[in-house]
Amino acid sequence: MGNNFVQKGASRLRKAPDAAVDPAVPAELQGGAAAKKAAAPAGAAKAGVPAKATAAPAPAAEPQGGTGFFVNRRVVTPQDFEGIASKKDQLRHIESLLEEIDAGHRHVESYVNLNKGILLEYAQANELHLEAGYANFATWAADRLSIDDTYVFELINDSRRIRLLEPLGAAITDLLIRASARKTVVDVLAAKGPEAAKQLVTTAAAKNSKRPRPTQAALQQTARELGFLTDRKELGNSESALPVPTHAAAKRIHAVSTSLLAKNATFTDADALRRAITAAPEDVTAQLDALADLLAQSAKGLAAARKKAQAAIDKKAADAKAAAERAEQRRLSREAAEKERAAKAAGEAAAEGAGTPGGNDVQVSLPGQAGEAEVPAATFSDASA
Amino acid sequence: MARGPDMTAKKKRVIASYSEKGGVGKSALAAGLAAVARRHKKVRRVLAGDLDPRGTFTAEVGITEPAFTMNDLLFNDTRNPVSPRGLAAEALIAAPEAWSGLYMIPADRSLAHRETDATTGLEMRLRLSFEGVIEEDDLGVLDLPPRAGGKLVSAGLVAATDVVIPATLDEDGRIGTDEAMATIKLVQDTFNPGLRVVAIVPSIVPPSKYPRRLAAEIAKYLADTYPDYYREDLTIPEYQERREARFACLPITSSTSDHGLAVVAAYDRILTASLNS
Repeated sequence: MGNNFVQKGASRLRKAPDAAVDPAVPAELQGGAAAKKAAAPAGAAKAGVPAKATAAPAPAAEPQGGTGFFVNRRVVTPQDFEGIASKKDQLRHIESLLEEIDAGHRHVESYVNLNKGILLEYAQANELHLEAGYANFATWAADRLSIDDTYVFELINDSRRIRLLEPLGAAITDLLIRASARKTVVDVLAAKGPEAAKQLVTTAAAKNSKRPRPTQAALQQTARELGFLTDRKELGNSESALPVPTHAAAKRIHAVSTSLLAKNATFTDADALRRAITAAPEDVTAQLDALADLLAQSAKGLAAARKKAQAAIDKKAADAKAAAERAEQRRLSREAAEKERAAKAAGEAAAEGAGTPGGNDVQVSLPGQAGEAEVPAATFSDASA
Repeated sequence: MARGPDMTAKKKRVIASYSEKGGVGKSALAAGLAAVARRHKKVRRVLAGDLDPRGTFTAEVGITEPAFTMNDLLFNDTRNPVSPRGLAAEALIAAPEAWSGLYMIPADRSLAHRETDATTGLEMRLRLSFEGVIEEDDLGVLDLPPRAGGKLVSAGLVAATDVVIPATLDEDGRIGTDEAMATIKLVQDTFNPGLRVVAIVPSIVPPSKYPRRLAAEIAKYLADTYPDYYREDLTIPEYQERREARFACLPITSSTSDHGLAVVAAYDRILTASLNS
């Protein structure tokens, strides 16, 4: 019959592209089932159709590896050299690939930290650690990643720094492959703005042509030389204001903090202030008075808000503690009940054994039974005496 | 109008089971005709086609997960068109052992896509695909969907040489017959002037000495309206063996009970009437 054509693999007939789509099922639900059905000819032998029939092209299947984080990652194979005839070209191709892979390798840590941090942030914001039975987010994250609790937040902060530095462009971020280096540049970014941050990195990189990727120490030194960070204490001080929160209201507060931080850096620039006072002392005084009033008003509101926030944190901690206590109490109750049941069952078994001559040889010792009761209470009194 | 390839030549027959109402026994009739035709002296091979996206006929034959379906056969890739002539040979698959001697182009739900397929020539595609495939003494059996026209019905009626209309003796049977006859006329006037109506056969008729009044009225209506086609002598009785055969994916000819044989005899009579018409 006609299937001979199919068996020989010479079929003109092709699967219709909509063959795997059930018109009665909404498009968004078709995916997995359609892909499975597309591979259906493999099962056609059931109906007497030879396996060769699978030669018919099937619609695109799901990407290899499912939906994992590293899905579609490429591995170099001998096929990479197909069509490259001369050895010289093959060498060039290898060198090009090596360079590309090496460059990628240097950014692996940033890439990993960036993604880990995003995931941890989400888990923290949504308190997903509670689902895993952990009362504390950091403990859960530390257990999952086998790292120290304190490093969890460092990871999150580094992820935030990577995102903050991204707008500076690849030319800059390519030079910042260490978390410590990123920390210093973010300090300058917060205090002096993006242009200053760029200048810092390029200047530091230019200083040592042998090591174009500046270290944290080199960046700090350059920052001081450029006058971006005059006080050593400023390095790292911006950290508390820089992390980008997830909640909208918290984001607004973060924006205000960042803005104040930048203004404060300008304001505390001693040289600039001296020049301004010399040029227009009345003007500067008026502005400083206005700023002082504004800050005083803001301080009142800030104090009230902090008080409320702290109360919420205290309540949350108290709730968590109470919940943990309740859970512990439930656990103890369960254990006590189990012990009681076990004791009862064992007592019954012992009673049965005693009533049977030559019966059970197994001696069961339980609280309240002869074995334990033989230990006189006075023994303890004597010992303590 | 130019006529298509001569599928109506002597002994090349493709019988379509058609009504525009569901539940009147179309798929049962197609399966019954295919079952009895396999052992008919005048029939060399039985080639069946399921044009109903619900795939009732396909399921009854017991075909699951076929390599190609009627949808693949009727689909035409306009960017890379493949001539349909003789293509049915590649879509036909051998039915399971219980149905030995039967080859089928099965259907699945994706076939419904072709109802909205505006590709030029879809109606002619099945007919052309049979070219060189259906030979003398072969018999084609098509199960059509219960629709008022449309692409799949048209493709089936264009590919068919003969039509048998099963009619339950109730309002569904009457309406299904009336509308099927109207659609058949449209096809006769356009694509397939040689299409013949073999018979309108009373279908799923409960055996009773005292037929219900409505059944008698409908039978009278059909006989009066279509005196040349209504065939009370080809009545298909309703017996549970028919439903059991369908459930078990076996041909009705497997049944050895009196009732089963009575059903087989009815299909035999319809087949003989078709071959002799």
